[in-house]
Amino acid sequence: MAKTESSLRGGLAMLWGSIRMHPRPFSVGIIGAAMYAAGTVASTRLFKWVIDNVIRVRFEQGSIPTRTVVIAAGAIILLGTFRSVAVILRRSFATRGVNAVTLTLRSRVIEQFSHRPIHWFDERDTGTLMAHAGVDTDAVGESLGPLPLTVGVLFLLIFSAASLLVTDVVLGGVAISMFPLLMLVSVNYQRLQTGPMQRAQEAVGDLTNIVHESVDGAVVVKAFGAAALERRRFDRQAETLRQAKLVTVRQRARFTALFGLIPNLASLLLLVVGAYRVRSGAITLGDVTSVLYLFTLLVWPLGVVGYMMGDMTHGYSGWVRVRAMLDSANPSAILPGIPPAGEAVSLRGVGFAYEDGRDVLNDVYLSVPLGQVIALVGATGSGKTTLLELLAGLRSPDRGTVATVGGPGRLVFQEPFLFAGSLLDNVDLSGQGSPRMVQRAMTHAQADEFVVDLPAGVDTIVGERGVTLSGGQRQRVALARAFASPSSLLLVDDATSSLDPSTEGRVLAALPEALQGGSAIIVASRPSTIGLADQVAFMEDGRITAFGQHEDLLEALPAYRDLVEAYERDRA
Amino acid sequence: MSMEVEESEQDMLGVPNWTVTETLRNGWKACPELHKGAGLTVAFAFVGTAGRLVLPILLQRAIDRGFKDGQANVRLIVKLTLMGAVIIGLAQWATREANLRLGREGEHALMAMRTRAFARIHSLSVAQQADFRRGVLVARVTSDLENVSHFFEWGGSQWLLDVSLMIVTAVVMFIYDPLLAIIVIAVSAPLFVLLRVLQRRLVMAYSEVRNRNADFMSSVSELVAGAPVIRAYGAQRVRADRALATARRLRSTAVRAGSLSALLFPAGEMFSSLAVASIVAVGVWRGSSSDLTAGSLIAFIFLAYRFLEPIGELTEVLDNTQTAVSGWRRVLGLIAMETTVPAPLDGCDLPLGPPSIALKDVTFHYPARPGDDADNEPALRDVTFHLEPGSHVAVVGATGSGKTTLARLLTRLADPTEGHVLVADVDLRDVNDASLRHRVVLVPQEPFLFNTTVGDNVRMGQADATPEQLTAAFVDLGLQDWLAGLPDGLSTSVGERGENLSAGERQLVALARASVASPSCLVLDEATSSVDPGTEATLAQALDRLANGRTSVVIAHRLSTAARADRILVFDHGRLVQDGCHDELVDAEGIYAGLYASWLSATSSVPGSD
Repeated sequence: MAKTESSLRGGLAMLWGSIRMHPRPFSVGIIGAAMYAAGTVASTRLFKWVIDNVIRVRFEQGSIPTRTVVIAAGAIILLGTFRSVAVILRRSFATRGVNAVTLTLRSRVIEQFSHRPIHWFDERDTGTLMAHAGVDTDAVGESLGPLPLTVGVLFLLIFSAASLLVTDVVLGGVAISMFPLLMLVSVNYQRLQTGPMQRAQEAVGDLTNIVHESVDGAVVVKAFGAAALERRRFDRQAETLRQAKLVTVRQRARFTALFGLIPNLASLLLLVVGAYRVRSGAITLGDVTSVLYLFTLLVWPLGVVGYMMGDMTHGYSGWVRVRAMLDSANPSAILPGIPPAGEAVSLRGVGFAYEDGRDVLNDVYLSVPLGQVIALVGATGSGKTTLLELLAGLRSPDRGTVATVGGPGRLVFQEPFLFAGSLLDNVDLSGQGSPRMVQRAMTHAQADEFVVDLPAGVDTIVGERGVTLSGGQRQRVALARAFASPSSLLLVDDATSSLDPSTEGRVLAALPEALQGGSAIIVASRPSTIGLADQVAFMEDGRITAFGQHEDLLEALPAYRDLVEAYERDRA
Repeated sequence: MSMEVEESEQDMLGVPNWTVTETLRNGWKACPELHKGAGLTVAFAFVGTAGRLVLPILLQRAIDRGFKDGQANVRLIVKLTLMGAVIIGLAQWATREANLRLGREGEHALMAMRTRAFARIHSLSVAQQADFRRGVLVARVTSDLENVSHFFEWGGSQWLLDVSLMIVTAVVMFIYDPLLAIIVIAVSAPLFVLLRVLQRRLVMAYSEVRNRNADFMSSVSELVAGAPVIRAYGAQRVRADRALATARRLRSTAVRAGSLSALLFPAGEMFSSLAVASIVAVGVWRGSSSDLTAGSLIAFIFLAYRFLEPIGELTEVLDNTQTAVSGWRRVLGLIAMETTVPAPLDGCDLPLGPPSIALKDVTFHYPARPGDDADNEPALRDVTFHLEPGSHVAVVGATGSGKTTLARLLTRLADPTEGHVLVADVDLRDVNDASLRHRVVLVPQEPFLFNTTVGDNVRMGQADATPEQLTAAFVDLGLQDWLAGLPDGLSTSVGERGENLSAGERQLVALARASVASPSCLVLDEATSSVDPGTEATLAQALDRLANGRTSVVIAHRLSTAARADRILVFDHGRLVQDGCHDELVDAEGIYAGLYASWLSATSSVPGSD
């Protein structure tokens, strides 16, 4: 109970926060809703007048002036038009308000996603982050949508209560006493549904995971004839989902019936009470009928109120999640220092850990002279990738200093990432390159050879994540991206290993020209790549343990020799 | 889920081009689960409408007989009311039954459709599966069907109850007064035309919203997945602006759709007042000529509301309905797809022992996709060879030479366009699937692991393998040390897609999986990803042991693997161009010698020496 109250208060805070973001559309929407409420109550008064002064006069006294009939019909149409306009006003401005708020939230989410440092992403899973932009904001929007309607219903209840009491205290009182009953049923249903609906939602999630995995592994499933096994696994979860859904089906059927039963029985009660009041001469037939009519009109809004309160808590949790992300403090940008003259890279006592107490880098020292190409060699898990990420300014060191000449280095990742869009956009990522620079970069990365065969050349659209290209092609586009962006330091994280040996050879041969006198650090495993470097930095367990010529290291360091020669062994 | 329906050309693969009526008709035919008791459900819905018609009828009786000359006959009214209460009670019970049955049978039918769709996915050939974008197949059995499910929960019930109500109300109106009934229907006729027009535009508007939402979500997902690249290249502003543009486009399409539905909703309201005004005018003009009474005229006003009220409600479920219909269409399309690799009617078993393998004049074309060039080259062309039982063969060639296609044909993940694939002298098209999967096993390039334990992943090779057999598989391959080094041995969890293991370790598990299956023929598509040199050596040794005593074909990406084979087949642009052992091919002029030379120079530790 306490939880409901606090989330109700939270929900109101969310409403208020959203309205303050975009007050105008919501205000117009609420005015429309108030107009609708007034129009509705007025129409019941008109109804009473038509019954007592037109219909009964005609049928009980035999004649009526044509003028009166024309006025009655005209008034009915006029009031209907008024109510329709009010609904249009309410709904179209509610839509505007909702979309203005969701756009504002989405824009803020986008700014966050664009400017947070990458460790912020490491700490969160993609699904949750995507939910902030998608379902969480949608939920806020969905719960704001009916806001003008809710306010309108409040108006309607107040106006109706007044109108009912004015018509007849007794009959009106009985009608009003039904309001809370209907709302209670509706609110209660909301509360009852929450659990089962959540379980059904979770069952859908579990089913989705199973299907995802099964579809991803479809070739393995087929190769081992395991389709029947997979079907059994799927069917079990599908049955769980069906059972969860059946619970909600039963509840909904019961609620729909209950919500049809109560107001209809209540109308009958009103008719009986009305009959007594007419007999005692307190009211007319028109009064009874108009009370019944008004009551019919109120059933739907009363049901909606309960529905909306349920939705508001739903939206509020979305709001809380999005706000929590938006409001957390912005860290300062990472800027590497400036190295001593003549050096491209200077690392002094650098340490880094992803989790406390588990150093990935520890006391790293490295000085790279300007213009040199360095091969970074080390076993898997020795910290090569992390070191490059520090040099690229993607992470800041926990200890020590990182200094690179001419700002952070340009990093070519081991896994190329392509954006949906044209090849040109992917190479010239910041949109500041000249066509000539892009062309040269493509040539150096050996990307031009497959690009000329594409239907639209560099303007060819690659699908999401570059799915329309092969792995080697994606990698060459990623290399071209690095060559096209001006920098004095190129960082390559084992990015050439997925190229076939002859293409790799040509990329490496073009490297000196692509660098234009700049320096490069290349994570290398193939001896041919290592052989191309001016010097080799050897990493072991988060430290650079040796730095020098390839031949010297081979001779002096057994560990280095073992690692490099593992390839030789494999070749034999 | 807001990440659902995208409508790009590729995502519409296998989706029939049906209208709403055709979809409903075909869906009804394809889903016998829906037929059972459907008539009874509709009957309940009709009985249920009585609950909403009691009040107007009762009111008419009460006014005409109970309130005579300003006086109320309370006893009569109470009697009528009690009767009404009983009818209302019955009617609501019928409504509950109708909803219950609709929901229950709907879920029953959905479950059947879901099972069929999932089974269909696995019965499609690998090439057909690959034609779908990741996520689309998943959507077919999840979100597409969920949309249909939401319809059974909400829209379907609304349609059933509302249409019944409109029909019954129209009948009651005709019984009361045919002239007034005709007037109500005539006045509301333009409404139906208007709704039809607006509805079509609304459906388009909502589908536009979904497309823009998909654009928005994919641009945001790039901000997250591409975060390191964006930062490494200082492209924050450019990418943020692009994402913002998609968010703005989404906003304007959503506002457009919302405004359109804002027009649609009050249409029922507007026409109700027209109808009521007409009823009052005509009714009063006619007066008590004919059988019209004050009571029936007032009842008529209520009836006119009952008749037009459902229209407002139905406009609310239009989008829900449309989404469900398009979801249904997609699922039906998938279920109706035929596999390009059909199982033989009366397939034979493969004999025991290592089989021979032969290709006879095999040509293979991948089916053309929309947007491809008209003359797509065959992936394999006129390939003929014969492999002796128990031989170890490596297949070598550049990317696109047809190696992977060959592996698919040998394991019947695809059938040749022309020619025959013979295993133990039997055409694979005549072999029953269970025997084929048992005797011939493929280790695919991507050693896909399921999110469970190492043991369960290996057990995929043979469902009833005991833990001892699983361990034995590792020992046979010389992997006992590696297995012992795992934190929980066979019970070690591999994580999603095997992320707890390295790429090389995942391949080790894949080899153990193949070993447990104990096939007589092994087809292995070697992984291309780079692996630690240490693991590389373990893998090579395990592979040799696995191939021992079996006919094996390895699609080799490393020439070191090829060099160890008895025989090497070299492919170039879909043709078999060289065939021989390593030493012969190195000395011969040709592709293999060239590949070997560049491999040597890439792996020699001291440049220029060997």
